Amino acid sequence: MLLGLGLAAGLATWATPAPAHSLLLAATPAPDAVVAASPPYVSLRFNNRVEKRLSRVQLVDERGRVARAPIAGADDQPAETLRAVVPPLAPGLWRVEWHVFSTDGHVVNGSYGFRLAP
Amino acid sequence: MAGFVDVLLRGLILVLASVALGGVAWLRFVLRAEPHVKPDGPTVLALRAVAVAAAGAGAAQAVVVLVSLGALASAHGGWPAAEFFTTTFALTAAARVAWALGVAALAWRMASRACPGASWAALAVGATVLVASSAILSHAVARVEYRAPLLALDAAHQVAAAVWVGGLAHLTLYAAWRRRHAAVLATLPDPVAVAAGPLVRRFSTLAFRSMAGIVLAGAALTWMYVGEAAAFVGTAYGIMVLSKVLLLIAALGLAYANMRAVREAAGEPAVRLFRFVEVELGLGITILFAAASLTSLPPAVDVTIDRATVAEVAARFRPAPPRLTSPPIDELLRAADPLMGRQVARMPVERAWSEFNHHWAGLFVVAMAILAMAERAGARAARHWPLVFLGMAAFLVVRSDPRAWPLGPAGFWESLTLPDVLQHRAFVVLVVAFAVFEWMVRTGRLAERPWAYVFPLLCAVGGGLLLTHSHAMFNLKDEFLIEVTHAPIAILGVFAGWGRWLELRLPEAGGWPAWSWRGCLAAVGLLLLFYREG
Repeated sequence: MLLGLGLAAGLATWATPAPAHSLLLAATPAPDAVVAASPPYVSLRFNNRVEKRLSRVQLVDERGRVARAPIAGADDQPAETLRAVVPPLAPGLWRVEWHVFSTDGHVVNGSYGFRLAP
Repeated sequence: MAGFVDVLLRGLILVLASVALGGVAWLRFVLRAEPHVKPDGPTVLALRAVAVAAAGAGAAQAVVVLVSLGALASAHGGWPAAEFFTTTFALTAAARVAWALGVAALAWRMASRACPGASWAALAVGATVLVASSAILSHAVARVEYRAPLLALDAAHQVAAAVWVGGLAHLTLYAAWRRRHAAVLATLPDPVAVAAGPLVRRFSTLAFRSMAGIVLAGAALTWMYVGEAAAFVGTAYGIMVLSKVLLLIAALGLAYANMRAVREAAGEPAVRLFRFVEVELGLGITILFAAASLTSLPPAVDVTIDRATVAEVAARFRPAPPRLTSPPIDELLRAADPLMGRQVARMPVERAWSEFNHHWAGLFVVAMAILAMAERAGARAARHWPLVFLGMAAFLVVRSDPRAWPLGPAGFWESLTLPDVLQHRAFVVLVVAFAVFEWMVRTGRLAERPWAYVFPLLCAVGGGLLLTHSHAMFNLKDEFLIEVTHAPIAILGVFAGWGRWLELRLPEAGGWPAWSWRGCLAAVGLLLLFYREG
């Protein structure tokens, strides 16, 4: 019976379950920031340790073009911080897309935007 | 979807590993199995259950590894197996697979012959390590601070929970074994030697010590992961912890009633004790799945920005006139792309659509509850109440996926190629099957035993699934504010299922189980009827 009720309550919201385990606590550039120059790197700090070799960061512009940002200096940063090297970016809106593999085995995705001033 | 599968698998592993370790505790402290003695019937049963459970835990752990690797492959566009198998998670999980299979092989071997004390010690260590190592796959291992104490507390919490839930499983198995062998047991010359009373008393002591361990370690973990009182009502993690506590209190109530019964009665335990144990076991399993669900949520102490306030939570429960008229489908499709599009924010028309769905579903459920109460009060015609489910199923087919057939632009067959739609349709088929099934039981077209048990079991499982179902659509605050109404619905569902179970299994209990599940059903309907998304 509760399968039916679960349907009524949960699936009517079109919810697609997704892990929400690793929280992004801080980022550079910050979400919704306007920056004057192309940032040399993106830094992301999470609430828990992440496996850096299995984590990825990329930037996407308004037209959907992707700029890869390789994770740099995996051992230089704290266990909960990712630092990705960013290639020179053109002015405009950019979305930082990340996915991380947390140490306890969860794959988590997220994104945020910032603007690079002309 | 991978996230939900991961939670279910982790819950399954917790249950199976608990049966393994709980079985070892049962053998050692309750059956008091001795080394160098050929195992008797109950010992063989327990050892084989330990073996099967450990093997199952190993297999499920292997699937978790594959699911994680698959999720990574999907994100990477390739299989990063070499990098994956250097991580703490993969190495621990792979070691647990091998370890679990080792425990299974040892237990199976011990079931067939007299074994030395070293084998029993190895089995105890093996099962304990199997359960405790789960902490290395939990939040604790990924924490930035206080990793060691959190790992120790988590391991202690899981070991205590495993002894309790696993022990309950073995007590239930033992009761079934006694029923099967009642005729033989009655002919034995020494009734004291085969009496169940002493075993039940020993188990009661073991269970309460385990409970103490669960509560102490759990309280410390809660303090470190939740942090403050406001986080209990303002985060998904907090509400899940509260749900676990509520289920544990219910289980404790049953355990306390049983403890009093076994301490006051000198002779054999009454049937009621075993029926309560069945329910306690069901609640325990639900708690383990809720615990698995917690692993997919960020600890409340970390959620500082997207935390809901008490006023926002209270607003979700404030009764208001239900929304009985729907926004036009064209308006919804113009404004939102609920299936194909990237969901960024919930739009007002989407909220209205969803609230309408919930409110009508609530009307269906309230109608069923009223009819079920009327049936209990003696109105024979009301026994057809399960058929109301057919109306609800039809409603869900039409409304749950507005982009799909019959309302949306996607045709019938095209709709079935969309994973979400397919999932929803499969659930609807299940609901229809259940409605017809329960109706046939209530109208005498199907035998009450065993078919009447389908209803309570599906109800309890459905409640558990709803509790573990995580909503992570937009942001943590929205996720929580949706889940905060689903959690009580899920708990009421679990209670309804086990209330009905007791009504069937313990007729001598009188009317309270029958009225309790009907009351829970009505409360679920009211919660749906007053559901708010904004």
